[in-house]
Amino acid sequence: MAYSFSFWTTIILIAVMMGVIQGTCAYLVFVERKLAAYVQDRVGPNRVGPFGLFQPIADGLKFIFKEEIIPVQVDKLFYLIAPAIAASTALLAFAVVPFGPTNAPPERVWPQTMEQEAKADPVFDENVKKYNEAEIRFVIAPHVDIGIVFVFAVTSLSVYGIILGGWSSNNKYSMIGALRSSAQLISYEIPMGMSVLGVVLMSDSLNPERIIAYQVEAGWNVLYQPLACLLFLVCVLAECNRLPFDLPEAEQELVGGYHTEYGAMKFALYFLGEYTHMITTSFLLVILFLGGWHFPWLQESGIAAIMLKLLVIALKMVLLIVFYMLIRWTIPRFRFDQLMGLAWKVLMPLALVNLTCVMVVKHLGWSSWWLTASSFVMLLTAAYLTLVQRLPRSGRPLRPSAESAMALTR
Amino acid sequence: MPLTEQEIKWVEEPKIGLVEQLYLPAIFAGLQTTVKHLFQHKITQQFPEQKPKLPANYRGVHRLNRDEQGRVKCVACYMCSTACPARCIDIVAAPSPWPDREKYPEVFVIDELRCIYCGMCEQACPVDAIELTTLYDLTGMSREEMMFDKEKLLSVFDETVKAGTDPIRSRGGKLGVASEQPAGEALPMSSTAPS
Repeated sequence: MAYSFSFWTTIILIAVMMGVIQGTCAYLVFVERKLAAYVQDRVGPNRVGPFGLFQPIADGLKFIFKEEIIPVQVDKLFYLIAPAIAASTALLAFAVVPFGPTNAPPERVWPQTMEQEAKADPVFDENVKKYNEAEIRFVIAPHVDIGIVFVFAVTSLSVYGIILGGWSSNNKYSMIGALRSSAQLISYEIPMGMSVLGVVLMSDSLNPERIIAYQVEAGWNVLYQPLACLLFLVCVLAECNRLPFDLPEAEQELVGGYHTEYGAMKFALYFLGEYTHMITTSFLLVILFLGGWHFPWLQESGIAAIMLKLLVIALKMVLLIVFYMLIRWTIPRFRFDQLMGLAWKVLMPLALVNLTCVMVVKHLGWSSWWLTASSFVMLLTAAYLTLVQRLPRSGRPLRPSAESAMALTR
Repeated sequence: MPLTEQEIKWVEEPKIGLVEQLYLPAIFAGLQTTVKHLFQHKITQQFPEQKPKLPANYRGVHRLNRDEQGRVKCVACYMCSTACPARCIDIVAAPSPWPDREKYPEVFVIDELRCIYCGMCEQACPVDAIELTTLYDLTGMSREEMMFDKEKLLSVFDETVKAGTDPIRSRGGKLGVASEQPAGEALPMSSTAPS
């Protein structure tokens, strides 16, 4: 019994979501400008349209009409492909992310032998028929059983957009900026994937729809694995090149960066890719840890409930993005070596230990609240170890002696 | 000069405890500040609707002052033209039609685009004829339009006096010394006065 696939529904959904995502990106830039302004005691753009609401349209028109310059020294093919890669991989990752109410696809014990496969399973067929008849599912590619891995794989491809952009620009500053940015991205992908593995283990599936269904029964994952949520949040901030990890973007203010040789629409594509990435990863965080479209007292079905659930997931995502924007104006930026040290020395071991705790709890069948306790214990232990590591070891003087200091001044 | 032990000041990093090492409480406190600023009063001045309050000695467009009888005060002494660092003032003097002064400016042109708005002409003028007003938002459609001649400068005077924004600036409330002397006579204490 096969899952149904409706060609026209999918096409329409793709078209609608492409439009919605790109429109949301444009308005997110506007929200970012307004939020930045309000935090800095000023008013953001407010001239174009009421309260500046047509500003993104003005920005879009500007990018469309701006002159496309291709400098002479660039490698033309990669120069033109790189922003396209950045934007398209970010959009592609959205294909498996549910943005509205979904049902979990029915489970089945996969047949291990030919006899088992030949034997029909009527219960499973019945469930699949019910699943097929369900209302429209708010995900472009439903029942992809490797959903989370697909998202991470495709977002890893977006690193190519940056590397190719820096390389093809034929500019040493672009090259260094691109290398730094790609080093940051690939080192933060590892703790990002590992922090999600705890959630995946608890819900027995990589399928986002099943993960949401698990949270509907058992409670949101942020309650049981707050440390994993925090790790994922930090890694998402690093993946999207947002402060406090925006050293590649800060380099633009200082010297160059992989954006240097890009103008008009190609530049807009890079930013579209970045904001789409932000949207996709905050949807992921909401789905993995914050319960997706689930709201505690909202269990009914019907058109009103569907609209409400859509609104709930959209609201959670928007609140998370507003949080990212507020964090941007709160914390100072990491230096590059501090950034890499954070990823490899702090986040990855924490993610590994978190995974071990989840494995232990799941194997022994204990209650999930042990995981919450272990998260706090791990966090405090990590802080303690960092503190202890800073203290001077005995036998080595903490201050240089006065004589050596005076010798330096001669 | 060799340093002594007492002159060296050792600075240590402040000690942080376990909870502070997490950085989360500090981030949370920072977020509180950020969110507090979201709701505070905004200091932006919405420009065309709200104009800025300029100080009284703001250096904007020039004007030629009139005296009580409505005549131009300027006596074409060329002091402002000589003092101007940008050399934007052009004067052509002529014998004045009025009995109480020798000369008056037949042509008085200031190139507002060359002007650097330093106020040297205002300081140089002995009769308080030329002043800088608080008008800053002047525009023109061509370079020729921005060369203000005498009529234009006098009209700036009429406008600002009517609007009441720019009172006549004079030194200490009194008019300049040269403007009170009748024409043809030297100053009382001048050493070159005919005895």
